[in-house]
Amino acid sequence: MKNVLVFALGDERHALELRWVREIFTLVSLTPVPTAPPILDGVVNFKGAIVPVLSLRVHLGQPGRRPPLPGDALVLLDVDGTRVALAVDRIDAVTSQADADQAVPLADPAALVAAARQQIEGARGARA
Amino acid sequence: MELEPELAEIFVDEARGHVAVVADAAQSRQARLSAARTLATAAGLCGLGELKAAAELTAESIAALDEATAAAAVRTIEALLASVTPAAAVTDVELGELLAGFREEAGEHLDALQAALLALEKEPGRRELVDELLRKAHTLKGSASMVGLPPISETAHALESVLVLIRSGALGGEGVFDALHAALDGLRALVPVGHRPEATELARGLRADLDALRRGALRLPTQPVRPVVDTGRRREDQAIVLRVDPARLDQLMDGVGELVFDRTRIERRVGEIRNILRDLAKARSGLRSLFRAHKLPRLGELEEAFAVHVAELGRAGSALLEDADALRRTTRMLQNGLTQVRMMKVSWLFQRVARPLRDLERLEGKRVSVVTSGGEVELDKAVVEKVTDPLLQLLRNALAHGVEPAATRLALGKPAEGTITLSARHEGESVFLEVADDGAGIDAGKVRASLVASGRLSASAATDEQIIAAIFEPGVSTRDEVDELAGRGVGLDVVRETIAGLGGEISVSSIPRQGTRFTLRLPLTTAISQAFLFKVGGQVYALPNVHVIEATTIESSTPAMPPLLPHRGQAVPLVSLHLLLGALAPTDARRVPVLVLEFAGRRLAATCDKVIGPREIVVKSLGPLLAPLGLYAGATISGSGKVQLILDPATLVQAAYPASAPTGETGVFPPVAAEPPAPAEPQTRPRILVADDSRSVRDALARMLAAGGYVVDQAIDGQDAWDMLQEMRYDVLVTDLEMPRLGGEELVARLRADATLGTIGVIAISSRKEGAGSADAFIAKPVLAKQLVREIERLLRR
Repeated sequence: MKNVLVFALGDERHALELRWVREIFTLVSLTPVPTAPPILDGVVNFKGAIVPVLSLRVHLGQPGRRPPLPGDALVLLDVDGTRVALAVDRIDAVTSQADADQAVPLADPAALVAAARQQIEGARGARA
Repeated sequence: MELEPELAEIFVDEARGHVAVVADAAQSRQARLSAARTLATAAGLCGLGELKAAAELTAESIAALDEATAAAAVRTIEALLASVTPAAAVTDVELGELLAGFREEAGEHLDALQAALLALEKEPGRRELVDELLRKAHTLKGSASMVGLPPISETAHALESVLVLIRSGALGGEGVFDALHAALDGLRALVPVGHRPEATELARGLRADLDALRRGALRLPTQPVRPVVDTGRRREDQAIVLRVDPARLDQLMDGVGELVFDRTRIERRVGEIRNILRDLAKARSGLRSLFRAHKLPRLGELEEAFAVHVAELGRAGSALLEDADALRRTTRMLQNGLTQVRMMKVSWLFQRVARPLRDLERLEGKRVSVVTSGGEVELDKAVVEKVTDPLLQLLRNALAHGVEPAATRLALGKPAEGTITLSARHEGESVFLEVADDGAGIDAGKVRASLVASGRLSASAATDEQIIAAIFEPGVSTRDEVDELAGRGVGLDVVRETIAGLGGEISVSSIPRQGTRFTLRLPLTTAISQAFLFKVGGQVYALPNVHVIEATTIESSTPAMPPLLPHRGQAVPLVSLHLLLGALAPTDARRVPVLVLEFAGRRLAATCDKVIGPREIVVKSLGPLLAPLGLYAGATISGSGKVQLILDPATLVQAAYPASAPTGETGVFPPVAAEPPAPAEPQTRPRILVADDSRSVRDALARMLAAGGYVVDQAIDGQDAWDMLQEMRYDVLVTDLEMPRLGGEELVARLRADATLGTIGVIAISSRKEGAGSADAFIAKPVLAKQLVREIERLLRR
């Protein structure tokens, strides 16, 4: 049985398989990255390393996007060696998939990172 | 067979996928079995015998329903996979590093040998000196044979034999010492050339002399086999340590830092070329479907010429990637070498703070003894320099706030004299420095009061631990009165900032009446370089300092932003960083601060909101995901832990001189011109189709064939290959036998039954020969390039 992290994103609830999750930490300061596509919220310092913060909202096409603010919870993910963080509005629970509400959709970090990679490569040189 | 780095990456990538399937109990047995077998085949082709065996064992175990053995075998596979990349990366450079390491070590051994020999010459009775000589000669022998330098190890062995005789008293006298000194000099001359052919001759002469000594028939060296003439003066010269102005080293380090930026840029270009190749591949498949629809021979020729050029570009791209890789290795070697030169022992740091501590003791009227440990641990000079002040501040704190006056201590049953412990230890990529005192500990109550007083803590909800951690916040005091010690210099907030700016961390633990311990985690080395910091749109950005010529302001009579800016009698283009960085541009150009930059011989001015100035920063990589964003060369972390982006001056130059920027790419291949680029000679390269369900195998085969000058297409299984064969004329099909959907055997049978495709040359590649019957040739895995090309040439000649 897969264990999942259930979190809130706007009015919606989503889940993430725990195997991706490395750490949960609080956003202290987000640095925006001009010229990057909207799927990139910015970058943060996590224990001396630069970690991109990706926007699940933008990826899912959720309206009413707001940039992550200090104090927001960040979920650090390891997607096949690529470290990224996701800003979430609230961490609800860590539970097994069976116990989680069946209506809670499972986020796919690999697809998110792939989309980010593609959009970032697409943005290259656009402003230069 | 060695794996190319790129191939290793692809293989490991694919293998991980198979392992995931094999290890997933939710998968069907058939799927797991098939994954294990494919992995075995791919490993075999890559020449990874152990991995292949482990994968085969896994497959057998799954087939035999022996899950325990299968799980154990999977663990073996994982362990082997972890070692694939480094094993494949054994290079000349690493051999060079190995040799350099040996030279350094050998120099130390020879110094020790020489010193012991000189001492023994003065006091021939000291047996322990002979033992020392023997030990060192033995170690030298061992190290030399370890790195594969027989001339040195054999000479050291001969030296050892002579020393044994000296120890037993069978050999001695002035002549012997002269000969031994000469032998050491000879060895010293041998060390730098040990891997070259001339070393053998040199070593032979040395050994002959030593053997002659051993036989008691002392033969004074007369032959010019030793390039280093034995004189006492010379020996002294070799012990001289080179003194270098640290500023020169820093300059070199900055240069290496630049090299890292340059390399990142080249790697980005390689990424761009890959993308173009991907687009080209798309355009090519478009051409192919056109050809299929219209069957125009001219189009077919075009498509073929196109394929050839794409393949050539691909090869050039791969070569560029290899060059970039070589550059990466060289840069790393330079960086390591320079860092090594800059390494300092922590004991130096301890000594440097000892003196001020004595003064502080007098000032405070307290006595402490300082206990140090781990002084031999080494740290980058840049880190040592930056950490000296914070360390001194921590010592001040320990003395002022920690250690109690002697009377108090005695009343508490503590020794009158306090103890401050300074210790260092090395762990992985970090060095931990600890400053501990046996004083009163941090008074959590006072810190709490200070927090409440400054309005930062409303209730007393926080635990003592959290409260104590707050002492790093600015303006938090652990003492009531401002005194000489606490009132000057840097506070703990600055200490934390400095450490964070280095990429380190500081933490504190304290026990009331027992003492306080500060632990600093510092990076072993750090890529510090000079940057120029400035603000745009509320964010701090950096540029490599070497490219910033001047910070000035726009002197203009109108509020409009001028396109050019006069600078030292020259008009330089003005780039709006506000525009580039998506910030609100100032409405009035007058008095707007600008930076004048020079990169690659071109000057430009760039607007900003505020100039901060030059700073030392630690350069961090943005990581592979963000690397394609050409505007940035990296990032750094500010003292407060915020990420600051470093702009790439090359991109700014492109913005200022758009003519030099690459032409805009649309991702769409331009329409094929009516007149095709007339080929100098008719392009009739043979076209090969490779069908295999393993990506590693496909890629490996395609590389072999592309290197042989063929046009190569890849099919992911038999069905895919069949479809492609309908569309395009291929000269030879190279196929695996076991594939999903349509196997190789069935594919060949279908081909043979087809009227038009029946005559195509077929090479079957498999670990088993069964089923290869109707193919023209069979090659057992692992495939050798030479063999493959030979078979193809044979089939093409038919």
